[in-house]
Amino acid sequence: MDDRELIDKTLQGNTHAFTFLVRKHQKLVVHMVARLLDNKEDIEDVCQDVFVKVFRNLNKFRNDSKLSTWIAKIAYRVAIDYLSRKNRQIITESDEILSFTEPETSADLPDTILENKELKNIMVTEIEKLPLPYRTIITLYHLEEFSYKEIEEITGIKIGTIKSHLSRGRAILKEKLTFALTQQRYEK
Amino acid sequence: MKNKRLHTDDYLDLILRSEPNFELSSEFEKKLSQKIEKIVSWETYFKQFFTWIAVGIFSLSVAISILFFAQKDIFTTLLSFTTQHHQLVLMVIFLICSVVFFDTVLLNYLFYRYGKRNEK
Repeated sequence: MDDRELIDKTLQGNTHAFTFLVRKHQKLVVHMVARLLDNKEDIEDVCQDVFVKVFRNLNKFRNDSKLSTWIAKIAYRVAIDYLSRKNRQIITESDEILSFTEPETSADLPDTILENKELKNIMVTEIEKLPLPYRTIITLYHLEEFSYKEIEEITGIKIGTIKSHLSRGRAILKEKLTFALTQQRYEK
Repeated sequence: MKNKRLHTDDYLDLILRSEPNFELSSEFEKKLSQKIEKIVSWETYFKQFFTWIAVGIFSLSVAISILFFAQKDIFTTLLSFTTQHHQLVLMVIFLICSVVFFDTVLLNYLFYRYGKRNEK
C-alpha cells in the first residue's frame, strides 16, 4: 500500500492504516530524534509527539513533497521545540568549529578497522557531540539519503549552508577519526 | 595518496550511515495508538456537542422566524419577556448548554475511560 492510500484510509477513520504509516516511517523519526536529543529517556516521548502531530495534520498534507520529507520536517520541528523548552542552546558553533579547516593529510586505514567496535563507538559519540545543525544535516544526508533540496525544505537552512555544514561536519569527524586511530596505535 | 583519502572517507561514510544506538520499546505502537484513540474520541465528542448546539440554534431560529411572521403578538410577548428577564434566559441557555456538554462530552469520556480501565 502506498503513502497516499494510507493517508486516505487514515483520514476516513481507519486507525490501522495509520499504524502501517507509523511502521513505515518509524525509523526515519527515530533516527532524527535520537540524533538530535541527548537524553535517551525523552526520545520515545518525542517520537510519540511527532506521530501525534502527523496524525492531527494529515489532512493538511499536500502531494507537493514526499510524505517522508513532510514527516521529517515535523520531527525536526518537534525536536527543536522540545530542545527550546529544555532551554538548550540550539546552535552551538564554537569559534574552534567555525575556524575549522579540513586536515590536509589522511591516514591509511588497516583492514581490521571494520571489526574495531571501540573506534565505531568513539565515532558515534563524536557525531553526537557535533553542533545540532551539523548533526541534523549529516543524519538527513547520510542516514536518510535526502537531497540538499529536501534538507532545505525540512530544516529551512539554505542549500549553501547545508553544503558547508556537511563538509565542516565531515572534516571535524575526519580529524577525530585520525586522532582516535593515532591514540589506539599509541596505546598498542 | 588519493586512494588513502578514499579509504578514510569510505570508513567515515560507513560510520555516518550507521544507525543511532537507540531502539523504541515494544510498547511504543500500543501507547501511540492509545493516544490517537483518545484524540479521536475527544474530537468525536466535541463534534457531537457542537452538532447539538448547531441543531438547537437552528431550531430556535426557525421557531422565532415562524412566530415573527405568523404570530407577531406571541413574538412581541416573548421578546419583552426576554428583555425583562434576560438574566434568567441566559441562565437557562447556559444550563442547557452545560447539560448537553456533560451528556455528549464528559459522560462519554468517563465511559470511555471506564471501558479502558476494565480492558486492563
